[in-house]
Parts: sequence; structure tokens; C-alpha cells
Amino acid sequence: MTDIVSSPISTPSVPWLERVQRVVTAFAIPLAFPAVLVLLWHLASTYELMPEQILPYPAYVWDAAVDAIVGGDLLKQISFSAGRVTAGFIAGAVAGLVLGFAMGFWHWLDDHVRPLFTAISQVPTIGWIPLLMLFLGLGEALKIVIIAKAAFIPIVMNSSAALRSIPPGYLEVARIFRFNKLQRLRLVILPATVPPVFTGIRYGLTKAWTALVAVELLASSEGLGYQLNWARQMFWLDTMIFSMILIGLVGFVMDHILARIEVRLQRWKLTD
Amino acid sequence: MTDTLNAPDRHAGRKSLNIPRGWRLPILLLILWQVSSEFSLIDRRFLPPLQDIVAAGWKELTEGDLLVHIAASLGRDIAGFVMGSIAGVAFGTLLGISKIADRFIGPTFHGLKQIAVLAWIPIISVWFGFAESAKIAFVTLAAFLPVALNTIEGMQSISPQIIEVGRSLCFTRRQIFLRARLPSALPSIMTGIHLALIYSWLATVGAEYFMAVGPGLGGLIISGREHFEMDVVMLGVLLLGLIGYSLNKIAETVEARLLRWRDG
Amino acid sequence: MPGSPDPSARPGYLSIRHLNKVFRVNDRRLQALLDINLDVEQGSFVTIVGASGCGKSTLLRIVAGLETGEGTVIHDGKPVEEPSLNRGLVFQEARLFPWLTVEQNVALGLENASADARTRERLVREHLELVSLTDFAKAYPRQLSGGMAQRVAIARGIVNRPGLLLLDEPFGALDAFTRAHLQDELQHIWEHEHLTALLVTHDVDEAVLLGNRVVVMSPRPGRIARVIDIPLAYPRDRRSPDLIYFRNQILDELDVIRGPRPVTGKARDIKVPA
Repeated sequence: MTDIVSSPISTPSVPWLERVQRVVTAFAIPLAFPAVLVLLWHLASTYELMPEQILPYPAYVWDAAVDAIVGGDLLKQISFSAGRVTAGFIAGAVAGLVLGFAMGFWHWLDDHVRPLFTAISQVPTIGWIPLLMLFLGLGEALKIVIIAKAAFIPIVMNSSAALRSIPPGYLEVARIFRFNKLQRLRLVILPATVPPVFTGIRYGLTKAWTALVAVELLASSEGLGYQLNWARQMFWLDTMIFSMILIGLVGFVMDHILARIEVRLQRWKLTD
Repeated sequence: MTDTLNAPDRHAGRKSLNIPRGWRLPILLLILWQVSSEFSLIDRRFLPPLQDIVAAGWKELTEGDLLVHIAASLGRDIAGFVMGSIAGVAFGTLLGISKIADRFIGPTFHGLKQIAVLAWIPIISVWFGFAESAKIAFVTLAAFLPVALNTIEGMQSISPQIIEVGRSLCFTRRQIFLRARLPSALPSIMTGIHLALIYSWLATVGAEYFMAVGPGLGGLIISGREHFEMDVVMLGVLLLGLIGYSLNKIAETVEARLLRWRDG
Repeated sequence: MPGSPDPSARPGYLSIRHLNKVFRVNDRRLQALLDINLDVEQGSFVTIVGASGCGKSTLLRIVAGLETGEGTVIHDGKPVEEPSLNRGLVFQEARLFPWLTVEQNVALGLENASADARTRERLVREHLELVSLTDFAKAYPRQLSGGMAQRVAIARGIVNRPGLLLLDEPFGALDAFTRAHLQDELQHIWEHEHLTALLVTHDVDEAVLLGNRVVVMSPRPGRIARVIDIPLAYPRDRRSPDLIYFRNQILDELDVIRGPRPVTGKARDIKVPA
């Protein structure tokens, strides 16, 4: 009967030790794996285990990055890409919101347009590129249309569904309290439709960015995708790796900003 | 289609126009297309008459190598899809059940997945050359990402209550994995595999665009564009969409069968 | 205190001695259980009743071996350190595996039992019969009502013939009619199977109806306030006046724990528009 069922409760907390632990888990552990990779990469290129055309020195990638940033070339390429993605995204988003809301509002329009829309969205962006190249040539118009189409699809889908998905129970509440039209819009319809529409917008931006990379890789003489393709032709692996990291970074930052806004819009969902 | 029981008079004049709503717009567009190309309102090279596209299809099928192209594309697609899915499930399971692996490798993985998949093509073509292996490697990567992501999520999102049932029945770690974690992650894994099937098809075509060596649907479209054969390009795009659609349907059917316990 | 064991006495079938449990929440110590001493005799039906937060579920989870505390818990002569097949557990939620059929879910209880395939099959069939779900053997959990799912969970808990059945508010999530029905069924199962049962509930009527010994717990810190023996024969009728007598005793005890009722809400502050 002297068996002790449990050991005493966990270690006592020391404030500074906890802070060190927090820093280690937040930064050191996530960075350990990439650090090991870079080290292996460095060793592999130092001892020439791999030809330089396959794996350049990590330092070279760094130099290429520094060169591009200092020389201003990077800013030029990014601003080209950013300008395209902005123009295409805005065009696609406006068109998508107009069509989406119209389809949500008028059933007859939805009936007429939906099958064609579904058929168009079934053919992926990458399929449209060569076709539109023939129609529009290789100029700016091609890029804008491709990016706009990529953003258009998810925005139409979400905004057309948003109006229909307002729970009828909420509208009943609005009727019981005798809300007027404006109150209904402000207190029921907007709060219920904005979050799904915004999710569509966020998804549209992601799609637009991917489409930009695709179209710039295939047909462009400037921008991040072009830089990547050019580097491939010249076998500049350092520039290539650097461009890839940039593409990932820009995509991540854009999505992250929209995700933050999305969370703010749906704060009420997250209480608890 | 005819509706004689109710108010036959009012509908009598519209009988011939009783087309389902969804078909009206596409049919109208097709008629416009056909008329404008027949009467050369638009350059026929831009909008070839529909019969030209059918003819191109027939010609490619009988004289050309359309079937060879399709078979080559599908072969790459399936090879990459299978390898990517297997690797994705294995990798996702590791990160999903091992906290240590997730802590160390997770952030790197989530960082790398931010890179638009197509941006991998140049470096893969440098590493693997323009050979078949580069295309398959790219398709494998495209399939790997969604499977790995969804497997991690499925493995991590198992309810602790289910795990507790296992503990109260004295399950070993192995039993908890096989009896609880794996089946509960299955819907999520299936979603990942379903996405992988779509992505790997897109990646196949994308890889063929950029590395247009050897047969393949993507290469066919690109060479059609270079020779300004609009009918070939349209045929290719149409096939691209149709095959993607069919793959999606097959995946949906398989998924529904495997997850019967969930709904129905 | 009647019924409370002398801490130095010979241990019963299940015996808990000087059990304490402390949770640490944001650097604050929270005494969940304070010096719990309890014996459960073989073949008895002990119910633990108390308000939420009195530690009754924690106590049951320690007995199940899912959690640990400081002190001694001996079941069937062996100290409780981890879950054992000799203890079946039924949770408030049925917690069935949704990807398995009803009979496969019941068979989970035999997963680690040393029985051959034919014995397993027979045991599963018998226990499905016991909870009258034979017709639903091939159904999936999503096709069951809440009461049916809980009956499957009970079958899963006893299919391995554990010496002790632990029930953690098993009927708490069910509607009143289903709950009454299952309470009667549980009485029958307990008698028929010669089980020893330990049931946790916040429902005083349930505690009195089912238990031949009721342990009343009080919160903050969780401790045993009183143990009341109920020497009434089974099957018990919920309308019996004898039960009401014991019920009132327990309600009095809980009232003492709760203290005078505080005044809540200020109706005058709410302005109703004319």
C-alpha cells in the first residue's frame, strides 16, 4: 500500500529558462534543418561532390541576391511582376464580383451562365495560355487576361454562393425585429456574405500569382518568371534558386496579409 | 420537351426554342462562331470552323500520333502521381505522428510549399536534363505536395477522445496508429490524393510545355501554336480539359466508395 | 461519516487511499482532489455524485489509469498505474470509431484479449444481444441515435468481461426518456453480468436509482462529503418513495455544500422599450 501512483507534478517554472525555451522552439528548431541542408550543400560543393552547374556554392546564391538587390535589377523585375499581377487581379476580381453577385441574385442568369462557366473553369489556366497566345500575341494583354482569368474563377464561385448561403434563420430574426432594408443589409446580409467572398478573393490572389509565374515563364521578357527562365538558359543556378525563393516569399507575404484581414473579418468565429 | 398538358396555346409558338437554359448560351456562342468563320467575318486562322477542329482530330487520330501523345502524357501523369502520392503519405505520416520531425522539418516544408510549383521546372530541368526523368520528377513533386500536406493535417487532427478510447482498451502504439490514427486520417489523405490527381495532370502538361521533347499532349499544343495550327491547339486544349475532368470524376467515385462510413 | 473506510483497514476490491491530485494552471495550484479514501466491494454499484468541478471525473479517470494522482489506488490487488483490460470504461460521449461498424466497434474491446476468433465472435454477438442491438450489427455509428450509440459503448466496455466497469456520466448527453430507459437497462446488465460498477454523475436521481452506495463529493477542493448506503433491492422503480427519501438526503447535503443561495441578476437594470 506504499505504492505511489504518480510522480510529483511537472518541473517548477523558471521565468528566464522558459523564455530561452520559447526562443529555441520558435527559431532555433525550425532553422536547424535548413541549416543542416545548407551545410551539406556547402560541403558538397566544396568537395566537388556535385558539378557546379548542378549545385553552386551557397555563397554564390547569396552573392547573386546581393548583386540583384544592390544593382536595382531585383526591384525592376519585382515591380514588373507586381504591376502585372495587380492589373490582372483587379480586372479579374471586379469582373468576378459583378458576375458572381449577379448570378447569386438572379437565378435565371445563374441557370444560363453556370454550365458555360463550369466548362471554362474545367480547363486549367495552363491550358488557356497557348490558345490565348494565338489570339492575343505575346504582349501585356496576354498576361493580364491569363492572370485575370485565374483570379476570376474562384471569386465567381464564392460570391455567387455567398448570397445563397445566408442562413434563413437570420433573415427571420431580421423580420421579427422589423429591420428595414438598410438595417437588413448592414446587420445580416453583409456580415454573412463578406467572409466567404473574401475567402474567394484570397484564393483568387493566390491563383493570380501562380498564373503570373506560369505566363512569365512561358512568354515574357521581364519579371520574376522571366528572370527564372533566363537563368535556366544561362545555367545560372544561383540566380535561379534566388528567384525561386523570391517567388515563394512574395506569394507567402501576399497570402499572409490577406489571411490576416480574413481573420479580422471573421473574428467572431474565433472567440474561445 | 413538349409540354402540351398545361397551357398549350401559350407555349405553342415557343416549342422549338424549348432548350434547357444552361445550353442556350453555349449554343448561341457556337452558332456565332460557326457563322463568323463560315462567312469569314473573322480570320479563319483565328476561329477555324468547327468541322475543321473535328477534321483535325480525325486526322491526328488516324494519320498523326494523337493516341501516342495521349498515352505518353497519361503514362507520365500516372508514374509521377503514384510516386508522389506514396512519398507524400510516407512523409506526411512521419510529420503527422512525430512531434520531433514536425518541429524540425515542418517549417522548412511549409516554407518550400509557398513556391509556385511551376517555378520548380527550371531547376528540375537543370538537375535532370530535358529527359523523361525531369518531367516525371516534376509531376512527382506536384503530386507530393498536396498529399503530404493533407496527410499531416489528417494525422494531427485526430480527436484526443478517440486516442483515449484506445488507451483505455490498452492499445499499443502500433494499434493506436493502425486502428485509430490511420483510419481517422483517411478522409484527409484521400482529399490530398484527389488533389494530387488533378495537380499531377496539370503538371504533366506544364512539364511538356517547357520540355517539349518527345510525344505528349502539351508538346502537341505547343508545336501547334508554333505552326499557328489553331485547330490543333483547340483540339489539344479540349482534350486537356476532358481528361482532367474524367480523372476528377474517377477520383470522386473511388473516394466516395472508400469513405462509405462517413456519409450516405 | 458512515460508510467511509478507515484508512488503515484491509483494502477492498477497489481501494483508494489518501489520493490527491493537483493541477497546475498558469502557475497556480489547483487542488482537484483532496485526500480521497474509498472502497468498492466486489459486485457493488457505487455512484459518485457532485456538482461540476468537484473532481468526480478526475477521480474516475485516475481509477481508469488515464491520469495519475498522488496516493494509492489498488484494484484487484494490483496498483493502478495505467489502463487495464480488467477495467472497462464508458465515456459521456459514445466515442465510437466512425469508420467501424457497430460489431467492429464492440470487438475493439477484445482487440488485446486472449480469445480465439470464434470466442470473440460469440462474445460480440452475446453483448450486442444484451444491449438489444443485434439488428444493427452491420450499421455505422452515424446511423445510430445517441441512445443506441451509448449502448454500443457499454457493450464495448463490458465485452471483455472486466472486473470493474467505470462509467463517466454515461447518460449525461441523452434526452430524459432515453436516459430513463438506459438507466433501467444498465441495472439489468449489472445484475445479469454480476458486474462491479463505479458511475460518476451530476444527476442525483440517477445516483440514487443506480447505486447501492452513493458518494457525495464537494468542490474546491474536491473531496468526499458524505457516503450514503441505499439498501434497496434491484431492479428499482424510479417512482418509489424510498428513493425520494434518499434523494432528499443527498440534496440536503449538496445544499449544505453550496451554502445560502446568492442573489443573482438585477432585473431593474434592463430597460424594456415602451
